[in-house]
Amino acid sequence: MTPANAQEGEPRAWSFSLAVGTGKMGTLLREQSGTRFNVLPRFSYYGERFYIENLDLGYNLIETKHWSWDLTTQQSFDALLVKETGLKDAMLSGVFNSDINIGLPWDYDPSRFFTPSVRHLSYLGGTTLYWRNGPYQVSTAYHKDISNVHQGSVWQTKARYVYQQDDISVAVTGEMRYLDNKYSDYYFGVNRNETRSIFELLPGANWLPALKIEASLRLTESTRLVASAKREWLPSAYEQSLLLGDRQYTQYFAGVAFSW
Amino acid sequence: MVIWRAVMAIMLLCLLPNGAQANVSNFDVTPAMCIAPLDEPCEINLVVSWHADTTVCLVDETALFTPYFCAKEANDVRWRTQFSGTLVLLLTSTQSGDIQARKEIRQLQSVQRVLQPRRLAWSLF
Repeated sequence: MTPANAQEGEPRAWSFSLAVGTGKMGTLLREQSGTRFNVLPRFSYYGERFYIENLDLGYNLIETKHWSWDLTTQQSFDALLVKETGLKDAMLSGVFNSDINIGLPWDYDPSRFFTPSVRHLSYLGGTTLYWRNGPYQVSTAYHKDISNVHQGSVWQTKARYVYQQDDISVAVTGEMRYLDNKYSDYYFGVNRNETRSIFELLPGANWLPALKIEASLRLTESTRLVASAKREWLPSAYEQSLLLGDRQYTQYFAGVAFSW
Repeated sequence: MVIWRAVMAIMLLCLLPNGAQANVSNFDVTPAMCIAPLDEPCEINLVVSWHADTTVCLVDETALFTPYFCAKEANDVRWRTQFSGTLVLLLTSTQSGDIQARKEIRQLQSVQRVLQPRRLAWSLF
C-alpha cells in the first residue's frame, strides 16, 4: 500500500563538498603575498532547528517562508589577514619603508623594539536575522567574542542576489561589517606594547564594505565548476598602520566542486 | 437440467429473507487519519461503533477470515492497531460474508521540517 501523501524521499540534512582548484586568501600585511590553497572543504547539516555550516552553528528561533531568526556562532577569520608568520617583517617594513613618522632612538635594535603580538583566531556568538524572497536574501548578524580573545563585536549585514539560468548560477553579495573598537584595534591596530611605546595606532570602530561574486556551472548532479571572488575594503583609519600595506584584500577560488 | 437448477438457485437466493443481508447503520471509526514519521507504521487507538439488525464482523480488508470481533452492535469499542498506508475496515455479514459497510483510515506521513539553507549549496566561502 502506498502512503497517502508519500514524499519523494526525505530532504537531505547533511551535505558535503570538496572543491579542488586554485585559490588565494589575501593578506593586509606589508610585504606579504597571502596564502594559496588548492582544496576547499565544506560540510553542512540542517535539522529541524539546528544547523551547521562548516565552523558556524545556528539554532533557529523563528522560521517562516520569508524570515528566519537564529542564535548563531561563527568563526572569525580576520586573524588570517594578519598572520603571525608575516607580522614582524610587515612591521619592520612599516618602520623602514613607509612614510609613517616614528621617533626612533639612535642606538636601538629593531628586532627588540618591534615585537608584534600574534592576532589569534576568535570565535563569536550572537544572533542573525534573515529575510529572503525569491532570488534575494538579506541578513544582518551581531556577534560578540565568546573565546576571550579580544572581547570585541561585529555587526555584519549582507544582501545577496542569485541569478539562475538552467545549470548556470551567479550570485552577487554586497556586505558591510561594523567592527567595534576592541575588534578593530585587536586585529588591525598597533598597540604600544608592540613598539615599546614609540608608536600606536588604534583605528577604533569602523565600517568595512565588501563585494562577493560567485558563479557555478553544474556539470553533473554532484559536480560543478565553481568560481568565487571576494574583496573587502578598509577605511582610511587604517592607513597609518605599521602593519598594513593595503587597505583592501581579495580572496578567490576557482575549480571543480564535488558534492555528496 | 443444469441450467434449470441454476435458475432455481438464483430464484431461491432472491427470495431469501433479508436475514442474510445485515442492515448496518452508524458505522463509525475514529480517527480517520493517522500521522506517523516517514517509513514508520502508524500505531493508533481506534474507536469503533455500529448498529446492525444482525451480527456482523469487523475485519481488516487484508485479513478477511480473522475478524477483530463480531457483534450486532458496538459502542465506542477501542483497540490499538498498527498499519502502514491505508487501513480498510469492513463490516461483513456472518451469514453471507458480504460486505455491509466500509471505512478507511489513512496514514499521513510527517516529514521532518528542514530549515531553509542560509548559504547557497555551491557557495565556497
